[in-house]
Amino acid sequence: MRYLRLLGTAVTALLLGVTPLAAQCTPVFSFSVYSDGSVSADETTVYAYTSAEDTSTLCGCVHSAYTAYATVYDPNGTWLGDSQESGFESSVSALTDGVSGNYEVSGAEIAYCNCRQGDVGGGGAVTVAVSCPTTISVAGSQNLMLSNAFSQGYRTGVGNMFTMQVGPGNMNGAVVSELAGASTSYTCPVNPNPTSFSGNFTVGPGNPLNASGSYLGTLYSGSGNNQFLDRNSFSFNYDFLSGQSANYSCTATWPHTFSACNKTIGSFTVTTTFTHSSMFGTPVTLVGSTVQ
Amino acid sequence: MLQNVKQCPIKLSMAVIMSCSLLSAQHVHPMSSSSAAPGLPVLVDGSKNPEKIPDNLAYWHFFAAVAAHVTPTAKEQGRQNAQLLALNLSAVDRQNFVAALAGFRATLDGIEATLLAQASAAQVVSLRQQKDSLLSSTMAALNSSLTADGLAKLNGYVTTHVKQHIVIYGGSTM
Repeated sequence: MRYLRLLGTAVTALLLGVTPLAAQCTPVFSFSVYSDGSVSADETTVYAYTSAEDTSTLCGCVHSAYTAYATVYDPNGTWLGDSQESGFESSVSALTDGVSGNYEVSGAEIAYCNCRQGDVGGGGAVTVAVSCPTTISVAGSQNLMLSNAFSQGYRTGVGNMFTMQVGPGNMNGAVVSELAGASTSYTCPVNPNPTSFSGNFTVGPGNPLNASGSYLGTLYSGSGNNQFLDRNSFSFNYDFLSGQSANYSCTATWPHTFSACNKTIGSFTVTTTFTHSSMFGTPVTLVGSTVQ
Repeated sequence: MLQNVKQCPIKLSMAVIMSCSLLSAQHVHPMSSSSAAPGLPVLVDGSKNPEKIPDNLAYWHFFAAVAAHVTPTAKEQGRQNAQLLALNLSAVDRQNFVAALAGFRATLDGIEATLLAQASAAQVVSLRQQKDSLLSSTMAALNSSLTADGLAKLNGYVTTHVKQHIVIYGGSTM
């Protein structure tokens, strides 16, 4: 009987011991990784980035040494750069340097789990398409006439809408940067263009700025695939060559440099001719440009 | 311009992790080759089943990846500018979004610093609660500061793009 009591006590003790074991926390992994990439507006730089989250049920386990990775490869598979950062986010950038194609960007997260006595992790990779034109030419020119702007009060103007063509291949969506320098030489009484200008153009009919439209009363046609519109114009509400004789003309030239993906793809010289004239009995200055 | 971001056909974890292991060898990472991270079981692959990625998780990942500091470094600024192109937010929405994420970043830095400093189990629980609160407060801030159009664009991007680039691992005991 005594043994039975002891046995009962022992069983009870065991059960009491087992019950907590049965309700014990069971560690479960829950680990997520976001891996993605982007390219800058001017397509000069590709970014890879990752973020991770660990919502594991740890119980007594410890996750440590969290390290996030991001890597960029160019379209040829050449490693361009990587980053590894302690924590849950990492990013890296790489210059495209005029190389078109699909860049592979990848991200990953790794942590140490003491229960597994090893590293755990995961990640992913995506491609980011980059378009880098390497050629550019003038495909056409449309006159923007002062006669259409006269009623709006303009007495000098206006210029040309140039259609620029880039290549090779399909470059719709690519971004071309223009730097129009200040006039390098001029024969006019004053420099009509003393400052430089820079801007970006997105290639192709998908860009609303390349659609047909009107500028100061002159209608112009839109550009097509692999093209963009680039306006060169002067529009003043005063007669720029006031005091000059009729038909007096002068010129000004300045360099225009186009680049894509941080590489120069073409340089042109724009020559603008200013001609003193009259319109509806009012002295005006007519403006027209050519590109070489 | 951001365009044509595609899911890589590479099956995620091992290829990348192996890539990271190789990188670690090249760049003196403390992880030895013998302890290279094993791939965890994939619970949800967002590229296949984006609908199985919880909204909160997708927003969290996106915010953490995009958020920059109040005074961002040039690197942060460039990255964030590129990341935000795809959202096509208006100037005002963009400004409010960036401001909300700057607050997110500041708080997240503190939480992650504690996590990385060998937090105790109790601290981990508390920090996760803080993360939940941070996400909620950030979402609330965005709901009040973004226009309906901005919110729709954000939600559309997170739902259709971000989720496809998330992989959830788990389901097995440690």
